[in-house]
Amino acid sequence: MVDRAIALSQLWQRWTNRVMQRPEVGSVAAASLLFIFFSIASRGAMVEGSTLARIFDTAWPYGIMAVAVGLLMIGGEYDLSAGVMVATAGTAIGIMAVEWGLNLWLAALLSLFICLALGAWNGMMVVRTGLPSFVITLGTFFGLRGANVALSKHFTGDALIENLDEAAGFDSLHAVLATAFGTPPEDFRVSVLWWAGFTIIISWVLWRTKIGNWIFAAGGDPAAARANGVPVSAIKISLFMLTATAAWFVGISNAVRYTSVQAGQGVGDEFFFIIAAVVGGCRMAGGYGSIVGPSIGALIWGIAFIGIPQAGWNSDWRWAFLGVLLLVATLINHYVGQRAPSEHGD
Amino acid sequence: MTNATALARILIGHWRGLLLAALIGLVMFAAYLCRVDEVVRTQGQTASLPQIDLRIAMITHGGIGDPFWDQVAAGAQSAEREFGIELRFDGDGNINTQVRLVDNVVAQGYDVLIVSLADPDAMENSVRGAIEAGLLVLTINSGEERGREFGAITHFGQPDKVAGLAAGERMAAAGVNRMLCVVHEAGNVGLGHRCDEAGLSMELSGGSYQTLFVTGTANIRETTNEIGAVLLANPAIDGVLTLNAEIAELAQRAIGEVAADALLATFDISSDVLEAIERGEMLFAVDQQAYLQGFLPIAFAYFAHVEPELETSVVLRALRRWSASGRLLTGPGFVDASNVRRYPEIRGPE
Repeated sequence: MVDRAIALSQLWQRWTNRVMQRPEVGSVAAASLLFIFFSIASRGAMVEGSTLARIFDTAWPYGIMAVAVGLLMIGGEYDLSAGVMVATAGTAIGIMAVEWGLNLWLAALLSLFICLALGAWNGMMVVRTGLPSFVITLGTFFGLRGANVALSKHFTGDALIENLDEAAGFDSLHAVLATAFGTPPEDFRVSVLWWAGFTIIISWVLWRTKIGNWIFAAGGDPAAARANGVPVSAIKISLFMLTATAAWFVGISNAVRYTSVQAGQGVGDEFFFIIAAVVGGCRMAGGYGSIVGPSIGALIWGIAFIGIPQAGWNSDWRWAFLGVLLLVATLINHYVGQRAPSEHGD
Repeated sequence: MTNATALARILIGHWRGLLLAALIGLVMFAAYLCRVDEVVRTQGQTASLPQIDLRIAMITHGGIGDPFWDQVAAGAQSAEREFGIELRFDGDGNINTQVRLVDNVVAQGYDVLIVSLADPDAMENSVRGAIEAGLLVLTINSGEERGREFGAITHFGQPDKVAGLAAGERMAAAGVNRMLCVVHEAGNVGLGHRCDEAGLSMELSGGSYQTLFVTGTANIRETTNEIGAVLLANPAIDGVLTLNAEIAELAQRAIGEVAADALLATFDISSDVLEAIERGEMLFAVDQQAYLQGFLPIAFAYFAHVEPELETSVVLRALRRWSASGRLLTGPGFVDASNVRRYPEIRGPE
């Protein structure tokens, strides 16, 4: 019996050692615990298909953004303009498709160029001036916040652009970005698959390619990285452009799904992206983190957001509950993370 | 003996894990303790009302803590007590969030959805989905026309265009020549209608108007400064129309801060607005009866689910007839110097 216990203990040790090496293990543990917690508190309502559909639908925009923002944070930078850039993408495609009558696919492509240019601007400014990205992207944040509403009003006379479904190419773009599988309320949006796809691809880039190593190096110790021939500036600019691309994707997905765009939206969302990345184990100082982690962080947000009403708690307290839950999730992550011997560690 | 020692050693070796497991067990037990219990209904205060099992969700585009929507919530909550139904009141100014709140209510199997449609296009799929899932859908406050198109049964609120037109007329009649209309929720179709129609009234009587988008109730300091800055830059503005009682108070402060010579009128009322009208510092307020926008749809949903023969309340029967037309207008009513003194009595305590 003792032999078996020792064998079991060793098996456990080996298993935990292998699993604990992953930086996302803490967030997975936190998400699982939170999910089980709400499953009990809601008398099992959390595991119904309709509730799972709602959780994933709440999580995917944060998920796609958190993957990009998380990668940017590993690379040592922040993007505070990511939230309003989602609205910029939507406003741009709305103006071009509804007001100028462009095909939605063309409008989407042009709006991608706008976002890429904005991302490049963020990156160039950070690299050239050496100022903290916090300050640079705060400037972009305010600039876009004003430009979104001003340009929308200039071209359409309103801060709300409607009737995107009447533009050419709507059906095909809608099919690609916003198709729903299943019957409501058990409907899953194709966006969830896009989110999974982005997570897998970017995760692969981070762990299996040279670029991934460069990103860790650029965020961990830029000077040393430069000395070792890592193109730190190019990496950082690319990361800002990737974040802008994610914002573009979420922005146009929302636009075709809702067939309307509110130019004033997105303010404050940038913090939720960063929160999801941090809950998912990305270090705030850069150089450490994962991509599955931020995705799980977004999922934690979805679980908490849907779990609170499912558990029948008073919605007046929603933000307070969310604050506590996020703190608990991060603490669990931190505890588990401390045990983990890190590959790209301190 | 050695066996026991070895076992103990293994357990001690895993003390962190065991402690964590114990903690998790404790938290899960806590979750079990605070799970949703069968909802304990407060019995209807009116003894003659039959008790029915009805779950009603009211999902608005107002953020939690917004004074206007707090009045709506107060009306909804007193209806909840009166009719002994189960109510979920929630809302968010972010359209993405409001869509998800509505979808979640449908997933939770509610019987009735009462919803405000500030951005009807974005809400279309969710509202249609709710109707397909068999929910009775009613609209309040905004989105009357589109809501009916989606399949909502009845609307409770004030037609924004009619109210805007009337407000503009009153501004012009008070001698305003150049009006500033303050929009506090960019992207709210109904607010746009109010300003456009009020502006039309101004133009019809030879005046002009301009619209200003402000940050809103989320940041009152910033909103005050935004209004003040425009007043300072455009001394010709001699009238300000706000679309929310809290914004009206900010506009009043802004007018004072920059010493602008502008008359002020607003949509919606609060006790501060009523006092300002009484002191003569505000021209008028357009009242759309926020409390009733919360109370009436729940009363309607209740009697829509009660067998007619069980329905003993004369008041409810009258209400059913009233709302059968598909709209129950709660405004526009006007509060000005002529009736402000009587107003709190007419409205009664909330």
